[in-house]
Amino acid sequence: MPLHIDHISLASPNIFRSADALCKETGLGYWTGEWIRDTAVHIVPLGPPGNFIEISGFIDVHTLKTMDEHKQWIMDITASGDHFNGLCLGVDSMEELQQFAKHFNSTVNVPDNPDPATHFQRANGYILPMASTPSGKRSVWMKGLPNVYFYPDRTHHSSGQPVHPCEGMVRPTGIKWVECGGTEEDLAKWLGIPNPGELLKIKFNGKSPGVWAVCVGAEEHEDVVIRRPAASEAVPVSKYAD
Amino acid sequence: MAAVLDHIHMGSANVYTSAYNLTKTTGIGHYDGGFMSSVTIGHKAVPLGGRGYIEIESIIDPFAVSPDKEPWFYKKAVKAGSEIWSGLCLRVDTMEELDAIAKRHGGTISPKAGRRTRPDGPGVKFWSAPSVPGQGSPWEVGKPNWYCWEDRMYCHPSGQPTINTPGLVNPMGVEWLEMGGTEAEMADWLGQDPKTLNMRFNGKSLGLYAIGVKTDTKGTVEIRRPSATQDL
Amino acid sequence: MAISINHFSLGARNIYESADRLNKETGFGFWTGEWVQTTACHMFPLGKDVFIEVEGTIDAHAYLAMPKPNYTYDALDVDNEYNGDHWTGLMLGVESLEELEAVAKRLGGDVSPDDSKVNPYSHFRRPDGYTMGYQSAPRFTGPRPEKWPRGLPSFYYYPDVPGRSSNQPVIARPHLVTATGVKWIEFGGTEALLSEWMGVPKASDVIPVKFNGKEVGLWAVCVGRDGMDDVVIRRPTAAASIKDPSIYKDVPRPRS
Repeated sequence: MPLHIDHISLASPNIFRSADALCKETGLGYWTGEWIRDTAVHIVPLGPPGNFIEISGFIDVHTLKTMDEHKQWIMDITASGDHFNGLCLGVDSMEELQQFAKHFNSTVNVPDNPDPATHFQRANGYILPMASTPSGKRSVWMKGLPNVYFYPDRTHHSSGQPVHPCEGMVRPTGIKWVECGGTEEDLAKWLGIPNPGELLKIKFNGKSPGVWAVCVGAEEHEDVVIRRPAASEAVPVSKYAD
Repeated sequence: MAAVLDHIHMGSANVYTSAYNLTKTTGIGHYDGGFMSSVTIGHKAVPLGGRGYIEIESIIDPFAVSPDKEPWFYKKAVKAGSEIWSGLCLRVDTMEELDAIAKRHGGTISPKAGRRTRPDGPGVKFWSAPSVPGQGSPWEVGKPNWYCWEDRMYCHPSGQPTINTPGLVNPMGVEWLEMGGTEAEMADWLGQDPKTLNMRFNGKSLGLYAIGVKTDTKGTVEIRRPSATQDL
Repeated sequence: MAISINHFSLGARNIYESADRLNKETGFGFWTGEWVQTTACHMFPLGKDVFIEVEGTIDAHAYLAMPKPNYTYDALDVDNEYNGDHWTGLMLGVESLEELEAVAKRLGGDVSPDDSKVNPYSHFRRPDGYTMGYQSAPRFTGPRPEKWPRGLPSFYYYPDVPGRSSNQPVIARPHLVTATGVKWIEFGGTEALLSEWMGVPKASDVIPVKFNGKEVGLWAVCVGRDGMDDVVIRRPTAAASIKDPSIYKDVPRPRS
């Protein structure tokens, strides 16, 4: 696959409530049990070719004792409810990921730390190997910009795991489009590729940067549009200007 | 790119007991794979680690299949009084690679995609080769075939969760395959060095005879069954 | 009246880390996804209808808004070799609503309402929409009587046995061990206190409990394992980590 959308992060003040509400709203099922340090995610598979929404939030309130810029950002953007806070793109090889790292003038976060605590873990004991770029102290998500991922083992990709049954369940058939703030020109400049809108099925609404909506096809059902404000609506990206 | 091991087919007379006993004796878990498009074949999948798996199949609706239409692997398993290793399947990444393999064998990619309906998880779709008019499956004569999953590796059968069973081990990939025939014959069929697939050869009739699966606590677990071409 | 052990509550700062660690310690499997308002649980079936709920607060904003001091938070905030895990509850079970009402009356409280159908979000619920219908007692509508310290067990009635948290399938993972039931528990305080609370002549004749004379509450649970030796799950009880219990108002679990 060429560069593609891998997943979208939805920051939530209460991932259980948000997943329950999203399921009632859309019929999209989710699975539970994945976590990293003080954060857990409920995963909403969106169908082929393997996309998902991760509903993420703090599940260890004792982490608030040691605040940092990133934790404060999460608290600030979830104070008024769910916000889309990350657009995550995917590539199919480490070589492609390294090319993006070079373009970002950064490095790749490689999944070679032997400590399981530094990786997403699942309730079945699976530890998720995942490489990404750019690296650095401040996530580019805070500026409403996407990062890029490579999964060495795609067979355990989060989008392919089975969901809990839920009432009114629909089977998703894939992302139809994503609505982002900002302009295509800004995104093209960030990624170093022409026409990212067409390639990634993104349309631009001119609002503040970040994801504002996702449209997902569903089997024997009308398309599902999940609309939530972008994180930049709660905390302007200018706060994190270099 | 060289093909890699995708899965191993185990023909069975009863998919339920075969899966249950395999898990009980090896500690390697399984899950319900659903049924094939013909709706008469039931499927259980056994993830082996390393992106490979065993698929166990048997007839699950005997009244829907007349004796002359029973799959060959089912008849062979009944005759053997045990499961058989009925197929070895390799995987390539692209349809272009699959097409090249098909052409090398004088055939094409399968005219229709293979499909399996899972009871709970994502639907399963794959393409295979070679498909040669007038010839049966290479599996029946003890030879491997090839699959391509296109962009569906995210829901590959090897990555799905198994049912919970006490005492499961963590399988860590197939370490070796014991094949009939010779290395030279296999190299000719594969178009690649059989060592890249950790194959070893016993000189008997063609087909798969045994596999060794690495595990976290039981060392290498050997699973041996009659091959597809073995005289029973 | 037939009283039995219903479940145990293990308070955790991080229910995911705690459950992973408990699995490695015992071999027991667990399942995920159950929650009510600002609390979620990972459930460990122990055999014979008993379970451990590894329970924690999963809503940081709600925690900040909670009245302080917060008893459970303060207990879990005390470091120990278990990343702050503390036993926060022993829960007993009765077999009918009438028995539950008798307990409530005897102890001077009432029974929580059975409103799971009209107020589903006031009850534990699962991703599949299943809402736990249970009632508990005693619910003290005024201040908790001083003679009954925190840490004494509540009583529960669960009408739907197949739906119980103890009877749901766990997530598959390597090396799971089958739990065969609770062998004994270790409780703080004295037998006299627990017996009087339970309304029985001798508590250890009714449930397999022994007493250590320490702070009132659960201290250890011994569980049988199929084909293996028993495992003792030992954690401090919450009361042991509370410096001054008098500063905490006895606030019941919030319900919408």
